[in-house]
Amino acid sequence: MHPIPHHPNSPVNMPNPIPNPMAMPIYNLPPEIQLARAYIPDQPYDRLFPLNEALNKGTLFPNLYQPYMKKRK
Amino acid sequence: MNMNRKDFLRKIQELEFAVIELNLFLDTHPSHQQALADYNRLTQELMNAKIMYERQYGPLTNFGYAPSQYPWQWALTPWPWEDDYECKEDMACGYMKKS
Repeated sequence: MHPIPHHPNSPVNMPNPIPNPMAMPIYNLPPEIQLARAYIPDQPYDRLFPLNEALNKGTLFPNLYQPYMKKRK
Repeated sequence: MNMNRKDFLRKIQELEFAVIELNLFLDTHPSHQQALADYNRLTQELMNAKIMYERQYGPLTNFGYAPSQYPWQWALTPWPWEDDYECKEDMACGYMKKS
């Protein structure tokens, strides 16, 4: 398995934005996956954030909530 | 419901945000019944909140959605950057007057 290179345009203090595809769970992808195509996994409809929390977090959907983490010092 | 102007606006913003989120989900899942039910419920809540707000504090948008009392309320109610949302003395703020 090859390590994922750090993206040259991303700020150094940010976590690597490119997720390791081998580590990502694969949802509902059809078996006939082609190379060089982009796929977006289907978003499951789970619970919703309380509305005041949703506006603060920038999403209504807990499964889409992916905040940037602060750099650890 | 007796909320102050700022809290009421925030409540409307929260509802609008939730509704647009469900709008986006439904664009790609148009037959999702639970999402549609949530969308309809929150849309109704948003519509009611806007009507209540406009009755109490004046128009949310400049034209086409709510009638205006005299004088023209859009120009006289506080602007978004006047974030105390208080009505100044030279403003009409007819919606806030208790006669």
